[in-house]
Amino acid sequence: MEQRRSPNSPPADDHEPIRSPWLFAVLLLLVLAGTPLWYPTGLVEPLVLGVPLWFAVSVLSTLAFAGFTSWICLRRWNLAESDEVAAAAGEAAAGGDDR
Amino acid sequence: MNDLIFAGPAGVAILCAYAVVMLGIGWYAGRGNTGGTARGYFTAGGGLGMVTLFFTLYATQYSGNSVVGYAPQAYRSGFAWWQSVPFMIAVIAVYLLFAPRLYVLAKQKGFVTPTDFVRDRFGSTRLSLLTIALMLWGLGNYVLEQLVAMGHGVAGLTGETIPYEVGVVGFIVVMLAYSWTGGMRAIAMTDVMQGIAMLVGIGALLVGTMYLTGGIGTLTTYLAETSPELVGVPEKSDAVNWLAMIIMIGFGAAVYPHAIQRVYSARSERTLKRSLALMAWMPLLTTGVVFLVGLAGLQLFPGLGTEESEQLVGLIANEVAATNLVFYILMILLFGGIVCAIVSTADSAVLSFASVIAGDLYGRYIAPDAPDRRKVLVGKLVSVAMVFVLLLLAWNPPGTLYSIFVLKFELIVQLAPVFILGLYWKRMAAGPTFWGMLTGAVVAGGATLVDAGPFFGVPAGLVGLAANVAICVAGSLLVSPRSAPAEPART
Repeated sequence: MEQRRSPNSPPADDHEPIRSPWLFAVLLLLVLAGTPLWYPTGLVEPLVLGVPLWFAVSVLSTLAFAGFTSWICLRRWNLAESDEVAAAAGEAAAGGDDR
Repeated sequence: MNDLIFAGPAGVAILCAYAVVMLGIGWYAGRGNTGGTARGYFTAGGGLGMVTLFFTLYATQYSGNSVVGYAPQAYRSGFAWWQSVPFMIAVIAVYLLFAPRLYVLAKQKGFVTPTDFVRDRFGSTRLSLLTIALMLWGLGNYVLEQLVAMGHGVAGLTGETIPYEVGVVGFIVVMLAYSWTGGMRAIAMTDVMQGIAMLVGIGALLVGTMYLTGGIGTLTTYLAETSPELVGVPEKSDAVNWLAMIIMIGFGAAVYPHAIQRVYSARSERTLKRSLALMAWMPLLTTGVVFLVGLAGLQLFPGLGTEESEQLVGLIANEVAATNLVFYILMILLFGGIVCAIVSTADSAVLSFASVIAGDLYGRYIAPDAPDRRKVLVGKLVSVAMVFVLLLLAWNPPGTLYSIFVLKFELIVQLAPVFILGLYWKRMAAGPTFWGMLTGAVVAGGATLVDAGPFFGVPAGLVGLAANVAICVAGSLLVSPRSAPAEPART
């Protein structure tokens, strides 16, 4: 299916996080998994590594939330970097020619 | 934070040392002619590298309240305060919704203030003015909060050797001096030093606290026996509030004017995304650590009331410092770090305030033809005046109206649709966006005034945001026909 793009849309081979809704669906799932909405109020047992299970799940979800967010920044975001690197290389080459 | 056994000359010495370093960095950063152009002064000419950008994002996002205020929250809420970690990560996740596109546009069009985008996208004076009003209000409150915290921090660290008022005025003068000379570049460079001081301080607090309590394992056992309600699954309304806070702080903190200006200030996309990738982990090292310290306080100082628990960090620091000389020194560094965290947040908000005055009000409506240098000067002068007005407010809070002066996220989060939807949705129209934003602000502000909410855990700010988005979307669908051409970019 063809995606609707605004006038400022990037070329198709570039990465922009919002163009991949599944990324944000995963982030939302990780946030929801970390909230204590799914357990009976007051539940303490069972303990996992000395902490309540609900809290252990929340900590793991939070770690995954941080890790996935960081991964998106590094691997799913590339709108201008290629052009900027090429421009910097061009400038460096021009500087070398000047010398 | 009064009556600290380590307070006094050592505290005064470290504060003086930090102040001298800040002034030195400010002087160094201001040697270039950054005051010549508004973009140079307010966004460092879009030239911040990875280290400075990361630390300025970090030191600006985490204020002294992240330590001094969040530890007592953990003390009172127990494990439920773990939410402070995901809600700070959510700020970075929300950046991912708009920062990649906004960065590219800002570079193309030379944006200086957040309103530059709003004006460019919508071309609406009333929408721009409402955006400016909300931003100035949010920034003013942010600075006000830091001014109050700054006085307590200085007085606590020095055991009142430096009185509250003298401490505040002293650090304000230092802050304004380096901001005045070096603008964003000076602020970002001092943020490196301030961020490191804050991280060292938090690390010291964690090591000291765990030394006293014997680690998190015994802590949980102790709490499960003495206060099971703090360990067990929270009430449903608190669980809803957990999720609501992630949404509100995630969206609110990401669209703060000084947060957006850091997107503009990045030297390259690579520096921006690497800085944000690292920032996604920082809540674990900051609010996560403070959370543990707050829980440890339950074992070290059981039974504190709300007022007493507000002094928790000072009480723990006292206990830790009494252990030996190494911990004594580390606790001095902790309080120095807290003061640095407060100053680094305040300076960014003040600079952003100045940029809005210079570029969006004076430079747009009063003297459009004025040279950049004069616009920057006006922004600086008005922001200095604003700081001293807020100082009077901090020292003489206006009684029952005080709650409206501390409205922050509830109002600022109303800016999220104009930036996030506005970047991508072609049919979004200026009129409905204006009315949506205004309605959201009135709902959030009105609820605070009459002390209404949260509504089953949902804060009034989010109720306002829901109304804001609904009006904005429904109105845009009505007034902008599907076949309408894309809103042309205005320059």
